[in-house]
Amino acid sequence: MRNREIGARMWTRSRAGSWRSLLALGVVPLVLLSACGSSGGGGGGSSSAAPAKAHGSVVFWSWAPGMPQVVALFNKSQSAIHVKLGVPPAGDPAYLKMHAAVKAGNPPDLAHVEFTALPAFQQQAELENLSKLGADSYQRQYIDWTWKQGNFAGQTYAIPWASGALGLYYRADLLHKYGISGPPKTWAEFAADAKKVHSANPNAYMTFFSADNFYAQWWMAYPWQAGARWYGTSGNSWTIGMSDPTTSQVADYWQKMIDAKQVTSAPTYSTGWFKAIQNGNIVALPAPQWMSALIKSNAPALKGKWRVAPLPEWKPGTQASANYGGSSLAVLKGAKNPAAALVFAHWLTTDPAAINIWVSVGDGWPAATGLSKVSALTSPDPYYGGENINAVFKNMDALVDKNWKWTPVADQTFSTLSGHLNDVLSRKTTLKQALAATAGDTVSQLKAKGLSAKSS
Amino acid sequence: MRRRGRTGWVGAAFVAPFAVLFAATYLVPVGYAIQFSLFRTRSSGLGLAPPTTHFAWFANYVDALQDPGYRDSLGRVVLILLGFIPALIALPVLMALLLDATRGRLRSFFRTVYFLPYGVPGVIGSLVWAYLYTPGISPVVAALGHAGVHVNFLDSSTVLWSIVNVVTWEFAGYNMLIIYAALLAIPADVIEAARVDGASERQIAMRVKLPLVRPAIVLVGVFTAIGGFQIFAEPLVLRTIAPAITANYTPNLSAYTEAFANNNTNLAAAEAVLLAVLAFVLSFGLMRATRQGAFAR
Repeated sequence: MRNREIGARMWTRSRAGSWRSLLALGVVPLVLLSACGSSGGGGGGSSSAAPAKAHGSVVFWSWAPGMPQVVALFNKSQSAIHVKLGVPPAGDPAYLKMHAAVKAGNPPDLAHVEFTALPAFQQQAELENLSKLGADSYQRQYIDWTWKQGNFAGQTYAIPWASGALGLYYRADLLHKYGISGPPKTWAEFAADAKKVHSANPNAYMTFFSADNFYAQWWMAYPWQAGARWYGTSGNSWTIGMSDPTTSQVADYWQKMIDAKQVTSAPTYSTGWFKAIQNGNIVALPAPQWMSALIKSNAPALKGKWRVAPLPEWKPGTQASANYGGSSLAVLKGAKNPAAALVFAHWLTTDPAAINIWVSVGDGWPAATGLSKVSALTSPDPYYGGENINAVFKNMDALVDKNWKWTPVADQTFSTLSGHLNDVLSRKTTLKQALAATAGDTVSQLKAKGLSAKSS
Repeated sequence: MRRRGRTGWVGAAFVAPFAVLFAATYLVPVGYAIQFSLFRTRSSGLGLAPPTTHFAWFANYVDALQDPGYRDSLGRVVLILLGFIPALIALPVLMALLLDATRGRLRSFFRTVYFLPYGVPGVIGSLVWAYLYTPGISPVVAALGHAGVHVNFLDSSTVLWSIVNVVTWEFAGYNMLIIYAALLAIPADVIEAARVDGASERQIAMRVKLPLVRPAIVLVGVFTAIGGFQIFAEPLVLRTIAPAITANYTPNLSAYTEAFANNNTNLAAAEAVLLAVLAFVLSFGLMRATRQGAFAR
C-alpha cells in the first residue's frame, strides 16, 4: 500500500538459502557440468583465437548461487582478466536493471540472462553479436539445443550456461507404502498411481498442479515433451498456437487429475509447497536436475528416500524429455570489454572446476558437453540413496527437443497462463480453454510490441 | 511596498527547503512519468531489427484503458474500497470513542495496542498474515478445520477479502489515532454542558462527539481512499502463496508488472498517471460530497 515498499520482493521470505538458489535458476536452471572435455588441455582457443588475447576488467551480473566462488577461482587462475561480480535481484528485476543500464550506456560486460528472456533482449537490440568476436568456434563444445537458444538469424548472441531437462523424482518409500511397485514408466501409469496414492491417503498426492508464474513455465514442459510446438515463424510473422492435438491431449490428461482432485495445488516454491514435500504429501515431482539441490536443502530429513527415474513416456518406447529453466551468458550492447567477457563466459560454462561449484549449488545442468571431469556430476549422492542421479539427467538432457524457441514476450505468456490456470483451479474454465486464451493473449502481446503475429 | 517585499523574501526562504525537495522528489518524477507515458517503442516483423521509439500522444493511455486486465484491476480496487472504507472508518471511530471513554492506565495501554500494527512494515505484516492464511501451516486454518469449518482464505473468491483484512489490521490504528486526537481537542465544557443537560454517555458520543470530529473522519476517509487505490505491497507479498492474485490484480501491481516484468515502462507510466488522476478525482469528489471538507476549516 505504501509506495516506499514498492521495491520489496516476495522472495525475501524464503526461509532457507536453498530457496534463493531455486529462484536463481528457478526458471532458468543454470547448472553446469564440466564442459570442456572436448577442448581438453587446449582451453578452447584452437580455432579463432581472437578472444584469447582479451585482457582487462569485466563487470559480470548474476544472481546465481556459487558465483562469488566461481569468480574468485577465475581471478586466481589467471592475471589477464579481472572479473567483478555484481548481484542483481533474481529474474525480472535484474532484467529491468539490465535494460535500464543499456539505455543509460553503462551496462555490465556480461549478464546472466535466462533462455526465456533472451528473445526480449534481442528484440530490443540490447545484445552484442558474439559471432563477430569469434564465439562460433565454441559451438561444438555445447549441447546443440542450448546453443540455439542464443542464436538469432544465424548469429550468436549468448553463450549457453545451464539448463533443466526433466526427470522424475519420486519417494521410493512412499510408492512402496502405497503398493506401487516402482516409478511409473508411462504417463498412463503415472495417472493410475496418482489415483492409488490419493485413495490410500486423502492427504497425499502423486504430484502437484498449481497456477503461479513458476508453475506456468514448469507446466509448459509437459506439452513440449509430448512434441507440441507452440511458437513458430512463418515468413516475417510469429505463429502462436496452443490448441494442437498434442497439447490438447496433455491438457485433457491433467484436466482429469485436476477434476478427480488427485493433484495438490500448493503454489510452487511456497512454504506450503515445501511443507507438502517434507511431510510426504507430494510423492513425485517431474523436475529438472537443479531441483535436486532444492529438495535436499529443504527436506534434509528425507535423506535416502528420494530417487530419480526417467520422465514418464507418452507411448512406451518413445522416450523424450523437455526443459524447465535455463540460463545463458550474454554480452550487453555497449559493454566496454566484450572480448574479455566472452573469454570468461566460455571459462565459466566449460571449466570443470567452475562447473563443479555451480552444479553443486543447483545452478542447473551444464550446457557444455564432455562433463566427465566434473566430480559433482559423476559421484553418487547419499541423499538420493547413493545413486548417481546425474546419469539419468544426462540421458534426459540428450532427449530434449532441439527446436523449441521462446518469443520476445515469454515472461508475459507465463503470467498470462498463470492467470488462466487460476481459473482452471477455481473451475471457471478448462485447461484447454485456458491454453487457447493464452495463445490469443500472446498474439496480442506480440502485436503490442509492433511485431507481426498470428494464431496457428 | 517595501515591507511587503521583505516579507515575501522571508516567506520564500521559509518555503524554499520544502519547495526544493517537493520539486525534486515529487514534481520532477511526475513530470518525467508523464513524458515517459507519451512515447512508445516498437519493433516490426519478427523483431530481428532494432526497435524505434517515437512520440505517440495518448496511445499508451488508450492501450491501458482498453486492456481488460487493467480495467479489472480498477474495478477490483473499487470493490476493495467498498469493503475497506467502511471498515477503516467505523472501526477506528469505535476504537477512538471507547478509548476516549476509558480512564487511567488502560487508556494508554489500549492506545498503544491499537496503534501497534501500524508500526509493522506492510511487507512484514503481509508475511505474518500469509502464514496465518496458508493451509497446512496456519494454526487458524487448522483450528477452523477441527471445528468443521473448511475455509480457503486464498482462492479467487476469498482472497480479495483476505487482503482487505490485512490492510484493515495495518491501518485501523492509524486512523483511530487521527480521530482520537480530534476527540481530545473537544473542549471539556461542551461535554460537561451535555452531561449537565442530562445526556447519557451514549448520547454524548453520538450527538456531541461524533459531529464535532466529523472533519477528522472525512480526512481519514480521503486518506483511506487514496491509500486503497495504491494498494500494492500486500497483494505482491500474498501473491507468492495465492496465485489467485494475478500479476495485474491492482492498478499499482499492474504498473509494476508492466515496468519490471514486461519492460514496458511507457505503458507502466501511463497506468501510473491514470491511477494518480483517478485517486485525485476520487478524493476531491469525496471531500466535495461530504460538503464540509476537512481542509475547508
